[in-house]
Amino acid sequence: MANSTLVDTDTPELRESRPRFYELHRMKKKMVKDRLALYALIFLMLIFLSALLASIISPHDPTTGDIWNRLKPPSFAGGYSGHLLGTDQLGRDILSRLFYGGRVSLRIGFITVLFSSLVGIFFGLLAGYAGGKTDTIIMGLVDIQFAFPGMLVALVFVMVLGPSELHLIYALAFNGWMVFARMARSLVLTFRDGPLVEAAKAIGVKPLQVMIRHILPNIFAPLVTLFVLEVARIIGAEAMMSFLGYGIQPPSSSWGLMIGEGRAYFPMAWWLIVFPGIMIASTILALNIFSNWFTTAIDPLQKGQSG
Amino acid sequence: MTKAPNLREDVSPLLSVQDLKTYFRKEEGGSVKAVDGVSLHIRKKEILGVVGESGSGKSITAMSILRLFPSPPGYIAGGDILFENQSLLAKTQKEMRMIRGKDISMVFQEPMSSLNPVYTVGYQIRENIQLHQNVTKKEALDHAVDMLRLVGIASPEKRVHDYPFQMSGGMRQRVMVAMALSCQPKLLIADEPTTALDVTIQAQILRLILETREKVGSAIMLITHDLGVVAEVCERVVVMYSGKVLEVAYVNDLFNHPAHPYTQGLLQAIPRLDDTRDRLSIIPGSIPNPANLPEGCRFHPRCQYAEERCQTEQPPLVSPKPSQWVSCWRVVGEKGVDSDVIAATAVKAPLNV
Repeated sequence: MANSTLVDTDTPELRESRPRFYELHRMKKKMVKDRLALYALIFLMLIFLSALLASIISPHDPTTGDIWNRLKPPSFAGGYSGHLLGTDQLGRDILSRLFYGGRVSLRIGFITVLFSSLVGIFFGLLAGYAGGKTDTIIMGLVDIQFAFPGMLVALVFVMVLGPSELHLIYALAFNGWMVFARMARSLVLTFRDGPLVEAAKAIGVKPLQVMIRHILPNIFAPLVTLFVLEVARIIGAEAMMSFLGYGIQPPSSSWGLMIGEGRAYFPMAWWLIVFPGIMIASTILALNIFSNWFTTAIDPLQKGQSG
Repeated sequence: MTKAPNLREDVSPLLSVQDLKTYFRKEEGGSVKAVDGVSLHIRKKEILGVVGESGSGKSITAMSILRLFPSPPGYIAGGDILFENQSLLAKTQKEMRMIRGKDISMVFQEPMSSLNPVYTVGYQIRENIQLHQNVTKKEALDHAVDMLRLVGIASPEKRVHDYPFQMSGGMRQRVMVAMALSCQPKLLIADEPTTALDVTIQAQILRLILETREKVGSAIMLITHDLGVVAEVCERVVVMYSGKVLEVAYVNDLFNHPAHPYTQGLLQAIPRLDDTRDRLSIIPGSIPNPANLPEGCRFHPRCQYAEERCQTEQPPLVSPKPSQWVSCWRVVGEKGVDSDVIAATAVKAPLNV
């Protein structure tokens, strides 16, 4: 067909109708060009896979220790060859614990931000769209919450409710919704009085539908960026809480808890802290790079700037 | 020559705006009188032009009809809007939503930003149809394709899946027209539909609006500041200035015998081909700030005929001859009518044109 040659060349003007996943295809191309973002994405995928497949790929059980082989250094640093990254104070395999710990860290990161973003975006949309008193009250709440040191509030939360994974998620989500509310509100304001919303109202669309169907999709991209950044922040926060002993409780483990437990042995066994530390830092870094790429890839105004 | 006779067959107005006052509350107290006592009416299938400078209250009048002006701070301080003899101001929000897009629809000035960039044009036309008619998705989409064909978009079956960014400004405005007419509205309000488009496309869109009106049978309220457009397409014209109606007349009367000094000034400002003047005539000054309106006639600071009376009293809308209504003391003076009598008839005056 004569047409097919036109479609194959990357000239959007000549396309009669854009294929459904053209946007994804374009983003993929951009991703390959932007090497740093590509590596970050590959790294994140590996982390996800290792967390998903922890039970299959772990060389040892993460909870049963071998007390005769406690605090063995990594095999490349002259340790016992059965433990690639060494063992901890109870003789548990560090590598296996990293896989299982990643599961917990990522799960908490995503579920927390899912909660906080849903709540935050809802209130942000409401505040921005309704305006007036509703806006004042919601944004007043946001300001009040920002005035408290977040980590302390989360600590008190967990102290009162008792430490558990679910309570940790509540506590962290309680601290995270405000950024989404603020951002969603400010984005809504740019659309609320615009012609697009006016036109939607002029055909008789209901207010809730104007909010969800017409405004939300238009402000989605920056919110996704914020989502990724927040996941990175929450992974850090979870590590912090677990380190302090108010997060994940043994025998389950997270990267933060591993550092917390290994703290006392640091002078003689650096690998207890260094490996989970690397995991936390590199995951957060990769998430940040990825979100940065995502912003530029999806925002046409910034297209020239990267890749 | 005049289009008047065939218009008189149906005298009952489709829409009648009576002494409408739309004000905007200021934070520091007081109100901005954006629309201040406007009366006009539109008959079935009529094309009414509403002309005036920026800030004359044309758009706010239109938005008041659909009750879409920003509120707060906007509010209706008085008057009434009757659509098919029912007050639109007495309707609930829910009832208004049923009317918007179905009985009264609107075409906006900016086709570039009125369409939602994240949905296909077909989706957006379909949305309007599905909101107001009990049809399936498939039927609505078929209807959307028909509407696109009606507004002259080539290969509408494919174009219906396009996103707004894949279309030119003229095509987007066609889509807006298709959307506005998709439910056979009784009244189409076109708020400067051609301002954002280039001249050749302007003519196309205007012709399109007229042609589709023939097929759909809508009345049109065409808001514009282009007198050329008015002369081309409208049957009757309302001249607005600073939130007031200054003159109402049939197009021929307005262009041949403008009665109000403002209308005269506007017509003289149009350059002519046989013109030998070096400079175009202008109306000195600018439209008054609605927050700080002059006493008396709103136009008197710029009027070359302004008298003492113009500075203190607002002239009523009077009829120097049938089918023409003017709000000017000079006209009142010529006729020598008692002003109290005129004031009493002024409110419903344009209804009797």
